[in-house]
Amino acid sequence: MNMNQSKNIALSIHSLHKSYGKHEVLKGIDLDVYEGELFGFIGKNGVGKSTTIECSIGIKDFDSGRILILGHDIQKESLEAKRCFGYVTSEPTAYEEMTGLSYVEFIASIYQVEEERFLANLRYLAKRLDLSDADLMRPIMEYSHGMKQKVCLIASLIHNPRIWILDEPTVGLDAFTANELCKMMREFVSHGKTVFVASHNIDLIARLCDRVAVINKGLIQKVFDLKENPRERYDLNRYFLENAKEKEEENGQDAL
Amino acid sequence: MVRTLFERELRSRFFPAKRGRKLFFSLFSTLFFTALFVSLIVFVDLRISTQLQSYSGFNRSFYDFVLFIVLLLGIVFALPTMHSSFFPDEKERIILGSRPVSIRDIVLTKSAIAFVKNSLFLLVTYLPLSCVYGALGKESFLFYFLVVLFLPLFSLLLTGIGLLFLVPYHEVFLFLKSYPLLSFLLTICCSFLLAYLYSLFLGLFVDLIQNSSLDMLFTTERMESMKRISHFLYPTSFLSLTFTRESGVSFLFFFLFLLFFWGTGYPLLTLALKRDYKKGKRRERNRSYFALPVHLRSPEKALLRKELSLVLSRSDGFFSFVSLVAVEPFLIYLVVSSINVIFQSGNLTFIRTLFPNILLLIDVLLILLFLSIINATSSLSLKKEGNNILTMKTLPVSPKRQLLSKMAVPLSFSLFSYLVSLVVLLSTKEISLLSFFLLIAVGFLFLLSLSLSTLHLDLRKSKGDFYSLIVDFLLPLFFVLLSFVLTLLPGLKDKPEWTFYGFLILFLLLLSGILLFLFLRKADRLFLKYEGGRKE
Repeated sequence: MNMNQSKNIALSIHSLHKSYGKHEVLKGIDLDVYEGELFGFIGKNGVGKSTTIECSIGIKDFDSGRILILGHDIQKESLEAKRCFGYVTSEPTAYEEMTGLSYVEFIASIYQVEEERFLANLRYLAKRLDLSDADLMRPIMEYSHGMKQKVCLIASLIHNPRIWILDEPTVGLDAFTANELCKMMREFVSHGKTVFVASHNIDLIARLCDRVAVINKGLIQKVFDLKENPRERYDLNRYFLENAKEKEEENGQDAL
Repeated sequence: MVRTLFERELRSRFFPAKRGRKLFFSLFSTLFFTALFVSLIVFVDLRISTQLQSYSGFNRSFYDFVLFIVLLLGIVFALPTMHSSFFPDEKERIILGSRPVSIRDIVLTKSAIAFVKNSLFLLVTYLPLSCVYGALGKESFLFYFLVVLFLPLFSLLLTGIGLLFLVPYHEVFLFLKSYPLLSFLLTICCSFLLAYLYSLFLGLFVDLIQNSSLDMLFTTERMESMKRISHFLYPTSFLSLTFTRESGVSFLFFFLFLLFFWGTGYPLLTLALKRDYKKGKRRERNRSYFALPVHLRSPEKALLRKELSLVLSRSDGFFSFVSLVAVEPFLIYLVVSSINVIFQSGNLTFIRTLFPNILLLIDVLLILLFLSIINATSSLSLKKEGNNILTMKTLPVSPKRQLLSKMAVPLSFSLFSYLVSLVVLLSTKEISLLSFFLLIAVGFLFLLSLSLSTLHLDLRKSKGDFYSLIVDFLLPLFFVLLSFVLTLLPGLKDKPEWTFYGFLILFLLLLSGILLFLFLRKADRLFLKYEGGRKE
């Protein structure tokens, strides 16, 4: 019996179909992510990683299928579902006219975080991500890419979500902060919460995640259980690279 | 190298990536408004110059003034565009700063582009106004020849002045950028100054329309002092002397001015840009920790406050929403009172005898036109959210609430300003008490309908710029036109005031009701599908 079957499902995607005009991007994604696991979602650029995530968290509409976040249907109970997760994109999205503090305050107010908890969370997260109070008092438009990403990371965790969804989170972060972020993801999971991280960085995913799903051509090709079978880490690397090579050959990219 | 840089600048400044309908509309609107502008200034200049013809020697003094005003306007318009072109953003710094290109070449190329732009400006101001002077003064062929010949020299002068003043302008720009409140207040003050200048011009225009003489404006004393001052309007007075008296000495002085501005401006700007390219963006990090002033609010208040901060922070231009809203009462009063003067005591008085309600119709039309144009500049457009649309979509707040709060802030600003406008019109007896109360209802319903339809169309649109053009510009005009057409009949008939307003209120009530119903029904679904201003 699979160990995961005894756990609660944090994110459940069933038969997800999504098209842009005539082009079908997602051709029936099926995926269950369990509570307390660090789940990796890997695939090359343009295979449907971000679309899957954006459909899952209610940013995009989809053609058919069902998505549940901690039991809440993203289409029917979208507000309840949205309360459960924090989301970070590769491209920092924040109101650049606001200061870092006012942006995080805005997000916390929306989630109705208590002031005491807000301050404690802010202090802790800002320190972990190396942002000073003076940094937080400056308008976001003056920040570097990395600092913007840090503010977005803080905003995604300020309301103590049960699921943390990250799409290419380490892009633009320095090595120190990227390492700190990986540690934070591990800590998050150690509290029984769930991390769903999408990336095309195979090394990061293989090193960090408990389970990894590989997506290609709009379908989940394979799910690797790295926690149960650590040896699968090698298989994952080989599988991903072979898949990538196959695609390059298909495209005739032998110029190098 | 210079040629490559010049071609690149030319493409990016004059031929941005516009194709098909967008290019057509862009060219059409530019040509249309330029023609309108030229007609207006030529009309005013012609009427004033004709009246001044009877006083010998004053026409040349007036021409001196005209050239000097053209120069001042040229500087005012050239400085901001030259600033954005010369002082690079981060992208430009990386593209050009990392290439083997000397700063001297960059300045030279950008100066050449500024020269082309200034020449275009002079083509639609200096050239027609000089032709007016030449035609009235029956000047010889040589005058026209010199006027055309000096257009590039005048443009060089404008560019040279721009080069010299760009460095202090940049320093002031940086200073104001670090004090947003001061910058905001200064913008409001400048908007009032522009509105005041507009009122002077409008007053002059109304006087000319009424066909009355300009004796009040051009008294003998004023004309004498104008004549005295005109000799000192350097360097443009040298220009007019060169044309009218073919004075070689004046040309020499003009040339010396030209040399001075280029001789000082060019090296100064090159030095400043060298410093700027090397320095890069200031990103000093202060690592201090202190007690953070935390203010958590309810979701509704947080959304409203976010919208408020966006509206205020995006209002740093003269023609931004907040500065226009600030001067709206003044502008509405100016235009309505001018129209009332023209129809009550001018050549157009006879129209009122034919159509007693025509003035009411035109006044309401103008008020609605102002409301719609100013409201169109608000930050309501979802497109302006850009990538933040992702943040909006992940918030656990229903799209309806988010969109309503997005609408509420600019609507409140517009309504407040509109109420002040009506109070001003009532206190100056431009409108009756009955009109005052009924116009409150008309304005509120009009703004509500306009905001709801803007939001609705915004949500439906793809990323197409053509659609943006419709939403941003044509929709407000369509609303005004529709109100006008529907009220034309009661407006032209000899009916009591309230019937005219009643008809308009009924129409707007129906329209806003339908739009509100559609919004409440479809907002959630459309918001989920919306990807408007998001960058992929």
